[in-house]
Amino acid sequence: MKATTNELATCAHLVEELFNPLISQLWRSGRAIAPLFNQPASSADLLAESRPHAFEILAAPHTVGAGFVVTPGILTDEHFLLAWWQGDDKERIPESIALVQSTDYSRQEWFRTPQRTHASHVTGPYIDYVCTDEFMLTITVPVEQDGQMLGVMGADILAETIERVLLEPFQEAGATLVNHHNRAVLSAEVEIFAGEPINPENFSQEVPCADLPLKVIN
Amino acid sequence: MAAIRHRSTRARTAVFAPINNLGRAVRVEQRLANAIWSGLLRDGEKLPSETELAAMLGVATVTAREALISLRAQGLVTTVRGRGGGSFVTRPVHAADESLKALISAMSRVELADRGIHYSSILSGCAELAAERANDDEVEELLSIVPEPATAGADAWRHADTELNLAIAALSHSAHLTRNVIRLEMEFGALLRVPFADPNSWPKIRSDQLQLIAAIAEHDPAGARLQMRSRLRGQLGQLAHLQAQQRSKS
Repeated sequence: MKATTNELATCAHLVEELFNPLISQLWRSGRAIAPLFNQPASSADLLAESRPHAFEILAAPHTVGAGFVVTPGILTDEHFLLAWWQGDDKERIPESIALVQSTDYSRQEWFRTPQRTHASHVTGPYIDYVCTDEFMLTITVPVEQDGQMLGVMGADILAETIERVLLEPFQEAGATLVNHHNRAVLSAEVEIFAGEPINPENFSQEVPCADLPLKVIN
Repeated sequence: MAAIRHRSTRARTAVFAPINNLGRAVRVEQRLANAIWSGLLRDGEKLPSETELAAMLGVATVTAREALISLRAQGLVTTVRGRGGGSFVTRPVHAADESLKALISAMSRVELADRGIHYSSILSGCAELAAERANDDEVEELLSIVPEPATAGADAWRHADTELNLAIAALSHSAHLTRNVIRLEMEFGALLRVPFADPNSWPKIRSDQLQLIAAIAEHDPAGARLQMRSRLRGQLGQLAHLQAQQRSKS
């Protein structure tokens, strides 16, 4: 079944409606937190400053995690810090886990890409072994001051949530959502699962999602 | 959804939950129920007595009794009194299929893929090791598990396929890995084989099994791994189609 470009555009629009308000919110929170670094800031300062913003983002309908992840080495005490909260009970990610404490997250796509592009980014679906062990998409925006990245403001959405919210309209259009690595995020094709590589040659039409590293293909 | 979001808290609670006899009875019951559904325990097979079962599983007799009572209530076990009596597996095939289908339909596609990848990776590793280690007699044993083409009944095909995977896992010579596969067979194998209800699927199941055993017999680890992977990917695809059908029905 071939969908019209119009149907693909409708799907792309639904994806934008899901992600873009969240991205705007992340930019706003990031801008609000940035002045904290006008003077030396400690991990306690950052946690206190980030917390209300993270909670506000967690109150959005589809998010399961949110927070600020600092650029390593700019806090007065800790080298790494994930000021990150998750779940219905808005728990801070467990500090007791050695893996979380010692993981150098600066190599992670969700940190590295906004640092390089100075733009928002969507990572995944991937298994987030740093925080949740779940199959996730992570949205991050850079928080910058004088050309230096202070950290990223981000939010997590489960791949399952994307499926729950978008599978029906995508099935109606026979469409597949892919990320910029050509991995499926969601597909109307029964035998294409999230995370699987997609051969673009098998698809003839594509509609990019505005301001997102995602496109709808068919 | 809520379940996933609560996972960290729930997992912590589970760690510190008291291990009482009630919890044990549920675990015994689940283990036996899964084994019956997956075909590891055959229809009509006599179960060990309450006392034997309790000793084998390392639980109190009262715990084993409690588990059996619950299995009886689910119609998975029938108890016959008197001489020659005991508890027998009574697999209500269609009822079980229906409840498994409900389970499949309730799963997300993300979860289906997640389980499928885990299952397939573990079993592909087993196939690779089996191809390195199996001797001629062991290959013969694997071949003896493959059903005759004329074999009728989904259960027979399910049972044989489960047994083949377990036999291949055992050829890894790792007890840990084999136990892992037993657990996976109970948790996911039973779901993966729901589509075996269609008799049209049987010839392909058989030819896939024979190709896999051929690669093991030829001591071709890469080939055996590939055969296992592609056959399980095929089964996962069938399961995904079944899920889509189930959902469009409801």
